[in-house]
Amino acid sequence: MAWQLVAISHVFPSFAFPSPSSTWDSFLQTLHHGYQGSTLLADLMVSLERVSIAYVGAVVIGVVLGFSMTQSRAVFTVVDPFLQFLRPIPPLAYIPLFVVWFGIGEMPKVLLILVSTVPVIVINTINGVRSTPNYRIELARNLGANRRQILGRVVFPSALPDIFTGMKVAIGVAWSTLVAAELIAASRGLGWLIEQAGTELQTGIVVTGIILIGIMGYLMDLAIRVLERVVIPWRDFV
Amino acid sequence: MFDEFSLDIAEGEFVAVLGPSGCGKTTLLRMIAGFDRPDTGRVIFDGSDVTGPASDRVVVFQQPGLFPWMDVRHNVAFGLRLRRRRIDWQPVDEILATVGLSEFAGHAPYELSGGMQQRVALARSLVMRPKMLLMDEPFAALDAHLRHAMQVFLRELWLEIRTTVLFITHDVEEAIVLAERVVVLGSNPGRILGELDARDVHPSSADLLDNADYRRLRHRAIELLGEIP
Repeated sequence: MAWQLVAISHVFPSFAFPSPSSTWDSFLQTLHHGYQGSTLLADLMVSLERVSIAYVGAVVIGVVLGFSMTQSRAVFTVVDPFLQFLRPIPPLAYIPLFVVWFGIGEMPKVLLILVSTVPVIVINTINGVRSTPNYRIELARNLGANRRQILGRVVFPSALPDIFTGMKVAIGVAWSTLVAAELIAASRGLGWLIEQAGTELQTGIVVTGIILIGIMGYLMDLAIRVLERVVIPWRDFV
Repeated sequence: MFDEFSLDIAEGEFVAVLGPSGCGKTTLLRMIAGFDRPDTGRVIFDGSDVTGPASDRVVVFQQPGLFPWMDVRHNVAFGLRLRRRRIDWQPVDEILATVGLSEFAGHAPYELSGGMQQRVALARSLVMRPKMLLMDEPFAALDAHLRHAMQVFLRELWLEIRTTVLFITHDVEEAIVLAERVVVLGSNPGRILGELDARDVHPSSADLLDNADYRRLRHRAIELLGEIP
């Protein structure tokens, strides 16, 4: 309502501040006819594909790496300094380098998401492994579990709540990193769409893109929460 | 921690170790279980030295410690399934019936009351057919009513299966009603202050305070514990 009111009051020129109705028109326009040879749905799918591949990769790599770091002093000593070094660097700082190395294809985007999310997963996995209650491990040992069985059947499930905490943080990080990367170096995707439309003052499309990015981020977060409910329904009872 | 400490437990005996906190009774249990090693001295079980935990000496902790990601039946079967993937479920279901939880087999542990959870923990230990049960204040977290019910339950179970039991507690009444023999420990350093023959008193004994045997044993236990400087 407020949005529509501000828009029709013409405080700002309409090309700079699109009204909800003109944004809706832009939405339908890009949805049906696309923008610069690429439909809205296609851009959306491109972005989703990039983020899903990278995210699944990050979770697998992060969990495996986190686990190895708790099991081997050597792995920890080698990997931890890298993680600590990488953590405070905003992932966007790598973009110029990645573009030089890998161009503007899929590789640098996936890599960028990995760099920004793997440390999150690793740190939470390590937390989860370390916070496994000792009595659970002793109990399993007492009942005859060997090291491998303790890891697989006791420590891993015990670490799942923390792993999911990491996954929930990481999905947001992955999505915003991707959109940012697409803003700078891409020829398709939602980030590219708003960047491109912005340079041509197509603010209706820009706003459409921003809203879509917000909705998708929310839906992805929701998806992880639903997955969490299914995988660890016992989370809140322990 | 201990001073000239020697304790023999015969096969099939139910021994309670009674003592104040800090007397080393949990350390004693953990050494028998194989979690901790004595600095000096030996722990001999079934003719050989204890070198680590094994499923012939199973501990029941104060915390049931059930795995929340498994239902009750799989929690009970946990130890058996470590040995082979496909197991015979009959002993699992039998032991669940013994502890009176057959109808809860498919439930998640957190859907059960504290007393029921402790019974599942007991079933998980018993299904391994241990030669010895090591119980570390297993009922301390339960309220008085439930605690009494669990004592009656454990006593009757033991009369049936006659597994050797070492039961750690700081509760005088619990030690006397459950065990056949009560070993009273003192602290600094941990040492045996005395022993009580508690064969004639059990949790189902009508009104303990009217029971002359119980009153005598209780008096003696408190006397022994009072010797702590």
